[in-house]
Amino acid sequence: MIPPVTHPIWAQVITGSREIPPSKVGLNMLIANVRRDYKLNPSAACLRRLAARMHEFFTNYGAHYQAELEHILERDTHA
Amino acid sequence: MLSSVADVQDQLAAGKSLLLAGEESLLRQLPKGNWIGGTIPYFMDKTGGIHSESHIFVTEVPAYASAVDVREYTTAALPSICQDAPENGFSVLIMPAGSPVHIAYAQDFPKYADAYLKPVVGWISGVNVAEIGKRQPKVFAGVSGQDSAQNAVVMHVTLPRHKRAEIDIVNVFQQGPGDTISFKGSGFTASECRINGKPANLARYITGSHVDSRLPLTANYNGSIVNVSVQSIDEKAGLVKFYAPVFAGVEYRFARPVLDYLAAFNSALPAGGPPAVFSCNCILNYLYAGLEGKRTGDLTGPITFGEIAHQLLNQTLVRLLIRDAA
Repeated sequence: MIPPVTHPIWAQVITGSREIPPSKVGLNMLIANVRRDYKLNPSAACLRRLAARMHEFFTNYGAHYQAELEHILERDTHA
Repeated sequence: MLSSVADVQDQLAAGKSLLLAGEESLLRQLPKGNWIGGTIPYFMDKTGGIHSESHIFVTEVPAYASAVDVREYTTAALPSICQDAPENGFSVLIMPAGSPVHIAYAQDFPKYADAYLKPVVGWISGVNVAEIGKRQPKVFAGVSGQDSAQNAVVMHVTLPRHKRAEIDIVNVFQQGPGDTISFKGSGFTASECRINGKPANLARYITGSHVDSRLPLTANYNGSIVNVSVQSIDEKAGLVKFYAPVFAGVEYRFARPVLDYLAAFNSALPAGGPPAVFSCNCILNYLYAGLEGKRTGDLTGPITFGEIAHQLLNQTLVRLLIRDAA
């Protein structure tokens, strides 16, 4: 189950308060770049745009990144 | 594998889709067809690294590919490359070294629509290193028979639903323990920077601290180490040129020295998994590590002036793997 684009976990991944363990190169580069973009432009609009990119990635390719998704969702599951 | 012009002509006549690398005069002899190519005379073949101006390196697109679409891209059209790519498949991109598309892609790819969402691999075409500045690197679009020193060529390959493309990089370099370097702006050149947060001039830092500039700057992208190689240092002008852009907001360190490239490479190469459908390695690795006549595992492919695994990389081996979908 992919959290909706408005779910706070995407912002947490982008700001670095929620880590994703090293993965395949495409996801690693995407994470590094969205974090860099937000570091250079820490605005709410930028955060929404970057959250949409992360959400789109997992919506399209989540089936191949189950471990990473489970890691993202772990804290919510235990909460 | 390295093949004669006649062999490549036969393969094209048989309807195969090919990714080609070789001397310009050889690529010019090929008929129209489903192929793209770039100029380069260095290869990693089954027998090891080789400089050949008489043979073409051929990578065959797997026969199970369900569609192949060859396109040329100008600088203006290039930002749509990922949107043009198939929903399930991969794209192979070749750009001439130093061309407008090379510069634009390297600097702007992270901002492209759908960047990192679909697999894009490829390489930067070049020339014999003794002829840099004398001859222009080129790319060829087989469907039109056109060559270009300005534009990019791309082969978008659609895979059947039960296959999935995956990019992997093999980087023998690790981040060293030295100073952290950051830049205010992004680009292929840099003068001012920050070393451990303090303002400095990069060229004078490199020469003054006796850094081995054959080692790349490295950045940690969530566990993937991304290299940026130094092209030249002008201490007097205080200017450093790179083979790929550095980016503002990224922290770099010079790589740890590699004492035995082949041992480091073999150690870095993951064991098992499917064979690479496509791979390429960097001319700097070939030159600095003396790879002529030496093998790097079972990997073969062109030796290039830049490698593409989504974004432009330096001194990195790139592999495209195709797995059975879960």
